[in-house]
Amino acid sequence: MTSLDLAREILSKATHQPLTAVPADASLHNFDQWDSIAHVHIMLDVEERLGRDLTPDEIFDLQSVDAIATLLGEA
Amino acid sequence: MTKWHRQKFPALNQTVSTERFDLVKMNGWQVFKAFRRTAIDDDLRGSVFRYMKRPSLIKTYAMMRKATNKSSHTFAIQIRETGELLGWHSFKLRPYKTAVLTIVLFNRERELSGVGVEVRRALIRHLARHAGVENFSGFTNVRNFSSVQLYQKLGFKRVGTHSHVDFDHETDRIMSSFYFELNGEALDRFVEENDT
Repeated sequence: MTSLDLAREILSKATHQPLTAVPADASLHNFDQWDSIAHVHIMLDVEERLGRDLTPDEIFDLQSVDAIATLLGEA
Repeated sequence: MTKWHRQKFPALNQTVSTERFDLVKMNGWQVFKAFRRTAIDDDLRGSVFRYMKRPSLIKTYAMMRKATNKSSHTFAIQIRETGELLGWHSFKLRPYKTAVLTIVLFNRERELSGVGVEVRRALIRHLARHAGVENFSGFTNVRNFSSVQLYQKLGFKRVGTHSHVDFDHETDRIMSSFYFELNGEALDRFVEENDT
């Protein structure tokens, strides 16, 4: 599984949407289901997968599937 | 001459309505009750009152007094159909033409998704158009993910990070804060886009 697939899966789980409904370019600005509740789940899920707390800059930057994938890919 | 941030703009007492919610100006007693409800909730208190211990009634009263002076205003967030209280949104006016925003939601149920975005969007537009506010600002601790998301969703610009300024004794975490602003052309666009 690529980091992009993993990022989409995290968003799918957090928003309770099927994976097919999560576009690769989804962001909190263009994906309505990415609400505040989903955002909390996304952040905690990413932290769990990384095994550490996110830094302030990472917290701020995680606004899109692409950003999540990049961060997970670097881990 | 009255200072700008202490002026009695009629708009500051008006109810602001959205599709699903009403923002209704609260009196001192209502603010006290809302603050008390916030202060005794361990999760809410940490996000708003900066890791203070549960405040006494006297301390809560003092906080209410500060939040209901000439430059501070607090609105109840209510469901339009039922009048149910969902939380509160306050702002403090500061020179020059600035409003510092704070919002608290008592519950975060999935069916109420988007309440923060909806009410803050309406309030910003109302204050910009009818009270002459030219700069909206706010701060939140970086791990208040839902609050960070709210600022981002509304297009606020992150203007700073205050690193390692707090300590959360419950989680043993050193905390930092983000500072956000919405002003200038970005605010003009915001008001125009949301001018329905």
